[in-house]
Amino acid sequence: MSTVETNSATAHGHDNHDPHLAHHFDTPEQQFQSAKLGMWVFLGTEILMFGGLFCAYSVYRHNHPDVFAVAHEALDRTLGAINTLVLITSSLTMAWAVRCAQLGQQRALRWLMAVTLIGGYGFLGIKAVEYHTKWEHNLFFGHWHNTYYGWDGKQPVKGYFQEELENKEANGEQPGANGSEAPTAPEKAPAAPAAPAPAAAPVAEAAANPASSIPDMTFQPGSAIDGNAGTNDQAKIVATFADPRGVAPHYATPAGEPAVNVNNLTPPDAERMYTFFAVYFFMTGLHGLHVVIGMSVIYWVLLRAGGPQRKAYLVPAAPISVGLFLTYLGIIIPGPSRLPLLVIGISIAVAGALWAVLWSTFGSRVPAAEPEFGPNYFTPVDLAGLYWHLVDMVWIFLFPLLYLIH
Amino acid sequence: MTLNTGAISTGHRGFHESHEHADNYLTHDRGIMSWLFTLDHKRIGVMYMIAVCTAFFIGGMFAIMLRTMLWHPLDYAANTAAATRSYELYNHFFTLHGAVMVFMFMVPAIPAILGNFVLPMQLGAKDVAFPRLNLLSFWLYCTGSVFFLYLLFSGITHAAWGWHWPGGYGLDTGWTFYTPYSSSKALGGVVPATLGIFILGFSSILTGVNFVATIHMLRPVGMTWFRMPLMLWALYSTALIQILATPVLGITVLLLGAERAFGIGIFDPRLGGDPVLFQHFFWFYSHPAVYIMILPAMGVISDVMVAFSRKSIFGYSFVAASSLAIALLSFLVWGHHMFVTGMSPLTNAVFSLITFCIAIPSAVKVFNWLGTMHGGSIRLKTPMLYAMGFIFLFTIGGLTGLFLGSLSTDIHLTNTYFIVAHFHYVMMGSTLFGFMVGMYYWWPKMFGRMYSEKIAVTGFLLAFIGFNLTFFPQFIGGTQGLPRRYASYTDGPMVHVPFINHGVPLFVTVHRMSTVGAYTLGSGLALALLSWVLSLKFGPKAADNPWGANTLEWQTTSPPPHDNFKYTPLAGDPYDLEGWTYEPDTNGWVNPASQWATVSAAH
Repeated sequence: MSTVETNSATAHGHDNHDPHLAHHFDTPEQQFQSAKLGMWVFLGTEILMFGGLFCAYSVYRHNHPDVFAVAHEALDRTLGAINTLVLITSSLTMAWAVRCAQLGQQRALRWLMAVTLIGGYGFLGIKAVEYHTKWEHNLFFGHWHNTYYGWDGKQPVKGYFQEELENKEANGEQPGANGSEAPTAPEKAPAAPAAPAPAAAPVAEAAANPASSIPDMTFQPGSAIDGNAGTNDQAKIVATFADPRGVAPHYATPAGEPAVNVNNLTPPDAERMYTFFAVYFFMTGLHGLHVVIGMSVIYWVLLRAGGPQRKAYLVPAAPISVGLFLTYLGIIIPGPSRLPLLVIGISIAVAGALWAVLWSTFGSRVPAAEPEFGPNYFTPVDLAGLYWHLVDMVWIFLFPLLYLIH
Repeated sequence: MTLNTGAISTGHRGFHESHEHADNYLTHDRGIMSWLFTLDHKRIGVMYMIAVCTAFFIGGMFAIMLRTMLWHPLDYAANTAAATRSYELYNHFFTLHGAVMVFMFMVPAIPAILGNFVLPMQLGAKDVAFPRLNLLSFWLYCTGSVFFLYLLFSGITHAAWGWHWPGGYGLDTGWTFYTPYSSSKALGGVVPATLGIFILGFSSILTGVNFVATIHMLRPVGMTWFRMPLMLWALYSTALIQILATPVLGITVLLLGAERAFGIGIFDPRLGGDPVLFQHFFWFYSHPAVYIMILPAMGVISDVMVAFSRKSIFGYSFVAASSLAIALLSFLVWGHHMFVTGMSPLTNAVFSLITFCIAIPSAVKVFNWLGTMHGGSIRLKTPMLYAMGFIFLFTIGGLTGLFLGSLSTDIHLTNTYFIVAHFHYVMMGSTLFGFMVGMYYWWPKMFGRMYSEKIAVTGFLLAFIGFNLTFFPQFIGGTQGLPRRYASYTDGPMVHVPFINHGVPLFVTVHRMSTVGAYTLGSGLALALLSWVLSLKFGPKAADNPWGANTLEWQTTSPPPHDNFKYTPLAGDPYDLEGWTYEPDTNGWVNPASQWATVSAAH
């Protein structure tokens, strides 16, 4: 790129004006307005891209209303709400940062962008907890999902609802009386047919006579009331069972229980909860990717705002924070991925810290440069802020559509 | 701002001063890196030209190969093993032909090559609004193309040596990637293809964003919206479609890739997904994409019609507004690709009606071009010949489209060669011919050299005859029920031809005419390539304005300097040809009253 920089410098040789003004613009104002127009148009394309997903959401919710009504209860509203607050707050700090850039308040600009980044990490951290819980309960999409046994009825994997079934079987008709074990790490691979899994008997039965056996897999209203289930999600399901909201007459149980719950879904619908989770994971996953991209952009702007004299700690801050985040993931996620996450996370963080110490101790002293952003030039801060608000706004739509439907 | 503000200092470039134009964008910097990382829209346009034409060559070779395979249908019963292998290969060929041509040639061809080159110059600007983004678009295009090259080589090595590649080899889904075949059954590399298309789409979006911002923000003094050259209106409408439609394709292919890779179950009916939703998503992009391909070609034709008829455009505002109308209506007609897929009769009828409506702005354009030619002094130079070829082919393509937009005939014609012929007339006949128009029209401006008119016109005649020979018989075969996308075919009905008393088998005849036509077309395009390559080496120097057009890009040197203009242009009526007179010495046109003449005289 250095060739290019020299080109434009030598070719046009306008030394007497704003260093940020590109050669093909007449005024800084025109350049700023162009950049802003371009960014808004680009954000429009982002919205349209999510629009495709919102469309898919509408189609599947329309096709399977009861599936959505039941399946969304497995999402943790509290964590979702906290995440919403985290994102809104980070949007506030970002908007404030833009204002600080416009006013030339350098210190506040840097701190507010740093706080925005911390908000991003906070969001991702909470999301990781949620994802992990779903994974543990086999509430996943497609082949990985397991309402009872797995999408094809052949994988004897311990599922979210199957635990209730086991409790019922183990305790006769008093499922709520005894505490159930906490959800264990599921076997993701299809077990051998002869595997002595607890679900082996129902599977064999299902294979022999699916029509008669599938109703047996359901459990009676109230059977899931289990205070010792150990997860927040379970309590949500329990609440639905007792909650008369969301009547679905065509699926009502013979006894007339009006609630939409996993018991009075038709067996195909009960299996079809992976549809909801496909939509859930794809939408939140793509949104999460946008959070990461937004954080990268803000970090890049933060580096520029910091100037060369702060690089010694702002550059290593990236590996340090990523390493700490991976360490955090290792702490919250048990199982085989814990050790690698902890090792890699701690190594990256320590290496980053070491880098910072070495750089600031032995690095050559960089004289403080004129701050890049100020009342005359704040375009990158503004555009990064716009992108971050888009990320925020998408979540504002995702949260009610996924967590709060009924 | 004085006129000489942008004067370039060439003090340290004394080497070039012996040339008549001391500094142009081709000689401004040297070395491969000065091209690969240039921010100059003209150089990026030239790089696109090389990359996109390479893609066209690859896609064209697939076409030639599959036409060759269809010369003689392999009988499945006679030699099952060979036929299976051959059929599989055929599926890969027609898929890659379609995918490469659509995503790597037709979508970027005119906007990215010609648009990049002329858009800032027609605006009198020094560059597009975001030069870095422009370079990024180009590199994204190359990155996306790598995925298709991967499919190409994995398919070849699998066919030749049976190698297996991660992600699958070749691609056999058809360029439309219909689910559930693509999500569960296809042999080929759906995941690499979806990633490639996603990245190519990103390139297209960024080009669109860039063009919209450029046209909004960088118009010169005096150029109001209704004084823009019609090429700019066309590029603006194209950019709108790129921005509005491509993101939906992006999410669709992402979902398809995730479906294929992880089984998320969005489109897979076994997992509760809806395969028809894929078709809706896909055509919501891909129908507007048809207009991404054709609108810029229409813009080129509008400009060329004026220059070669020596007459101002007929009905400027109608041509401009019809571009926008096409862009908007293009979003409302995707359902006509799905008449037999299973929508409600009402939906079908509505889509059919809107499809008829979109014929109106298209016809407005055709009539305005004819009106421009009417009473003009027409010069049949190569660009004009291609432009008239465009109108001829586009009219046939458009009128046959009405058969497909009518519900009753569409059900009969769906998935026959009628469709193939129709969209090749519209897509290839029009987009490719429009592209050729633009290439020949702006070639002197791009490289400062004229081409051999003889070779170019011969190439045009071969291409035009070859094109019609390839695709016109397919209309007839299609109406008689010749199905598309089949690796083999039967004789079909016997057709009684005068003087051949036993008749000829229709389907065999159609296929063989098509194959001969494809070779003819290919040789015509090869001659076009030859005329360009020869012109670079032997072509006489081009005048600054070899065609006598009044749009701003002709009011600078050929090839233009790095900064496009040595002065700040003022825009007037782009189609006012008053004052331009032919000057035989330079084989160019001059206008003593033009700003360019004033500035040149001052130097």
